[in-house]
Amino acid sequence: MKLAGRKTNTIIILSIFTALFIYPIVAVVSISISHVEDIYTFGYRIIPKSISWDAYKYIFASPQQLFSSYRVSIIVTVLGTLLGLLIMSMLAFSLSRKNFKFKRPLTYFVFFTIIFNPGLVPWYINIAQTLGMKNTYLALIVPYLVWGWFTMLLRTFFASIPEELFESCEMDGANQFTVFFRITLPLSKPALASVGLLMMLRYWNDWFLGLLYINNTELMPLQLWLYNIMVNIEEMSRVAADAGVIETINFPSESARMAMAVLAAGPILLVLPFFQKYFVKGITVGSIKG
Amino acid sequence: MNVKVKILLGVTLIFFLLAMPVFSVGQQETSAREGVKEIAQIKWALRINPESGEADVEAAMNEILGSKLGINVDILPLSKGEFTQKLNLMMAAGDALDVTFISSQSWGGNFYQVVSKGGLLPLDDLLNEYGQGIKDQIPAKYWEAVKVNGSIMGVPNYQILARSNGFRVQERFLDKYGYDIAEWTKLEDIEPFLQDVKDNEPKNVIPWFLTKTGIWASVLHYYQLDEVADAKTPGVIRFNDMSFTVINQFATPEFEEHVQLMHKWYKAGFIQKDAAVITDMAGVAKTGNVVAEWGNHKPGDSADLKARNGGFDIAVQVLDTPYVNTNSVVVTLSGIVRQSENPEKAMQFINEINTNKELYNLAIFGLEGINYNKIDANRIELIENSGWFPNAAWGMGSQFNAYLIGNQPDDVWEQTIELNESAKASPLLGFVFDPSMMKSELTNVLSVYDSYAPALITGTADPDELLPEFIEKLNEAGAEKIIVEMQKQLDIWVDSK
Amino acid sequence: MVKTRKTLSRRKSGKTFEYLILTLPGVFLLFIIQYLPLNGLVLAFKDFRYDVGLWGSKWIGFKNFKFLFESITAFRIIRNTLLLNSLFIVTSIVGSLIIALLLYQINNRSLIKVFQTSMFLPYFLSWPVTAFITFAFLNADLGLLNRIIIFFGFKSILWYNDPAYWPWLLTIINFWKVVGYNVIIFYAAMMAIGKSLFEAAKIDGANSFTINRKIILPSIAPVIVMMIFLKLGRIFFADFGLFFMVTRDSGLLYPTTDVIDTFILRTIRVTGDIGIGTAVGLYQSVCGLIVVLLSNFAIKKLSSGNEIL
Repeated sequence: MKLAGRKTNTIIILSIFTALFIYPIVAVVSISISHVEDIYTFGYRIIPKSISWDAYKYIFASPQQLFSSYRVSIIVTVLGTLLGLLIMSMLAFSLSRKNFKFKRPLTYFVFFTIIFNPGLVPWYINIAQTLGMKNTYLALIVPYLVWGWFTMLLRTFFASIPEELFESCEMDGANQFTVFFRITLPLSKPALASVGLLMMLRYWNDWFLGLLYINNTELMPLQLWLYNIMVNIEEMSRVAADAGVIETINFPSESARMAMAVLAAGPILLVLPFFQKYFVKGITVGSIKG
Repeated sequence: MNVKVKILLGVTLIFFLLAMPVFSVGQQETSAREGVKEIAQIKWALRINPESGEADVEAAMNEILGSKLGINVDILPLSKGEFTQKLNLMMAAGDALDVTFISSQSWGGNFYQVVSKGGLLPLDDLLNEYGQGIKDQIPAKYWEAVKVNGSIMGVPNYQILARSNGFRVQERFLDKYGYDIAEWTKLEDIEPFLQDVKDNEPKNVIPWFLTKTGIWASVLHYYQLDEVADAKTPGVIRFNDMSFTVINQFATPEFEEHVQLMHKWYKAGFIQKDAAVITDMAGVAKTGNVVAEWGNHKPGDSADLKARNGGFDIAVQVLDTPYVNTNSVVVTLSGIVRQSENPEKAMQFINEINTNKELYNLAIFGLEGINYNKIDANRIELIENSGWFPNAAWGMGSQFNAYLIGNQPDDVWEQTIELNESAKASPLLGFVFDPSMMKSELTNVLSVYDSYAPALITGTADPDELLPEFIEKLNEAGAEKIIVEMQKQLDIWVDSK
Repeated sequence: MVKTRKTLSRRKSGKTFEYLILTLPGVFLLFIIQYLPLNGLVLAFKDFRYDVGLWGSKWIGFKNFKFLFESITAFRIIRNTLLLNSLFIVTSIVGSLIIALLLYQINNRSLIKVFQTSMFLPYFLSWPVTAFITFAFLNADLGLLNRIIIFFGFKSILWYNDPAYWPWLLTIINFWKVVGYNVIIFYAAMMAIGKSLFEAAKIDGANSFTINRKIILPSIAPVIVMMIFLKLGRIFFADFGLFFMVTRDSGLLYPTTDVIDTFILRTIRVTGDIGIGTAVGLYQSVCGLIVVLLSNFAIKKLSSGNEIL
């Protein structure tokens, strides 16, 4: 009885938290379906004064680019996440093993990349010219495949797997590939799912790689396309104010911005449950061993 | 273990050294495609959004260019948000590029910075040899404005150059409260009208709209001041001051008068409360709730103004003398980037796009019958959602070759040329301040400006409290040093003339 | 005896070889993507010009670094960066830890999913959108927050004009945006704790507070330490989107919101010198490295064997 009461309290606290978190998100959705005139007349509201689909109509007016950008983003996100997760896990696994001779220098090697950035110009020249990836899918995928941050995180997760499991496996004569694929990976599903999810978001939310390396509208990822539309709105007003020149825009700007945010986030919401099933209680070391 | 670390480090180092040549690529491409080709590829960077139909437009342009000049142009659309960053990166990396739109102001490209870092080629010789058409078309005094250290660094996209600023007021409110805009000759004259609007209109109607940049930059000439670098950087001279004495505009009585006036209006509720952080004006203007503002006027802009203000007619009253200075010329230029393999062809192309009416109209409006229909010889009608319409005629070449659209008056270009020619030319036309000795001071001054100016010029802050502090902080940041340096450079320039 | 040692050492070198194979793709990618362009850091010591390129540009020693310290804002931007980042680290780590612990206590799967998803949602939004929502809340007349304030009979607050609010506002916004992210990591770490530990604890009659303190926290301590460690490495770097976009680059707020990264932007806008940007970036990295090495040393002293590097 006492226990149940505490559980209820926990749920209430979390619900309040969640409500506070979700409130601004609701605002996003509601602004996206508001009349722009209403916003300027009555202010921002959680419940729109009257509903208008203008913003969505505007974005869907030329759906070719929208769909093509969705496709690019999906391809990049799926390939990048799967491949990157594999490569990083392999690296992190080695770094997590005490009996790996080069553990320390390689950890430094990985960690340095978190702290030192080459700066924009050399980074651009390297990928665009030296590696010749400009205007290809490679430029959208390869630069984010291995990220020091995730590698270090995975290393920490892997290091928590009890050493005895590895020892008994190695005693049986298994090589490290077997150890990695048979023990580390299956035991780290929650970790892999969480890092995978975060990686996926990194790919999905990115517009910077596209901005730098893509000039071709067919390869333009979703976020870059949305980013461009949004910056254009801002640029127009800013420049018009500075230079006294007029560029007319017929654009439900406020609501369109929010509508774009909804369209960008939507698909991720759909895949979230897939990842979540791996980090809902239940999978434990014990259950696998048994 | 330590030995191994050393070996590892050594190997890494060797890899580094091997990778070094990578960064000389800036110069690499020059020899690659030299010679044999008869048709020269010209890559043309523009500050436009990618539009469908680009390939067709390019093909039509190349038909003209190919047979006449042996040029094949390839448009590189860089959208507004990414233009400056991408252009500067491409220059640093030496990516294939020949001709680019560039501006000294917020339109993008950072003309003066790029020039000072050697990003553009000097054009004097090329112009004499391949650019005679455009050279004759633009009056000599404007060529002075695009010179940096004595060399022409960009070709102006010839268009409205004169700046004439004044009130823009919604006619319906003028009529409602019985005011005649033509009677207003000073900023203060609008006050009774603003008061009437404030007293009688609903709360969401904004009598006097300001963004965080305020209107200081465009009232400089109204106050008879002329900027040496730009309106934000300390250093102006007074109109008609033939001794060319550089003074700090923020310490002038005029600046104090202006910010006092704005503060009075702010307190009276004419200006939006959060003007000091507002960057976006289009959204509000479109609701038709902006009653009056201050802005630049050019011939034939009434339709644009109307569309921007939610379809309400706008009356314009110009208060200052039409004026041309260096900044109004370098606002839109075409330049040849230093990595161009074919500067001669690039100049031929610039000349052609500025003098060949058919070519220029192709670039700005697309194909006849597909993107637009001709109404008569010189007037067209756009076909909506037909693809190519970059809406950037002002950034591609001489706008006086453009077909007329919408309700532009038939003689809009004649009016514009007349305004340009009748406008007062700044005595500083052609002087360019070289900031390289003052980088620290300029950055410091800008950060002081950004901290104080928005509050002052939007009237949000009380000048009695903040203005003395602002001036003091500017001086601490090096405003006086900048002015001394400007004076030095200006004196040398005046002597040389 | 000799024979066994030989096989053992062969096994050992074979193991090293296997490990190296596993690290190879990752190391190779890091090398070509992150390390190759690092030689561009020489820009920090050069007066970069487009026409002569990276290697042709003139060496100017430490002049680019001097620029940062000659700035009248140097003290302000470094102080703001460090203070706000510390505040962010503490609030986001402690906050997400608490939320993760609370989440761990409930058994209802669909409720867990709902909570997790909702808290993770803000992370989906880009900085421009976040900036815009912030504006929708804090706008002088139209803002949601001010309308609530007015509704209760108070005067509306000009949030964007007063720097005093912003350390807290930025902390709240940062918290809102990243907490869901951290919760996912911490929660995943808790998944790996063996059930048997809890059962033993329950038999001993431990309450949930003791379970948290004695079992969960020690088990996920490595992950917590790693998260802090990674953030410390970048403590001299400010999140540009947060400080530039969310504040609407309002000059009035500079006393509390101006940071190193907004300074770089302003400098490049004025001077166009990417060398200065590189130099300041290098300064941020080196300082971050020192912080990290010191904390690593501290961990080593406190509990040897748990150091990260």
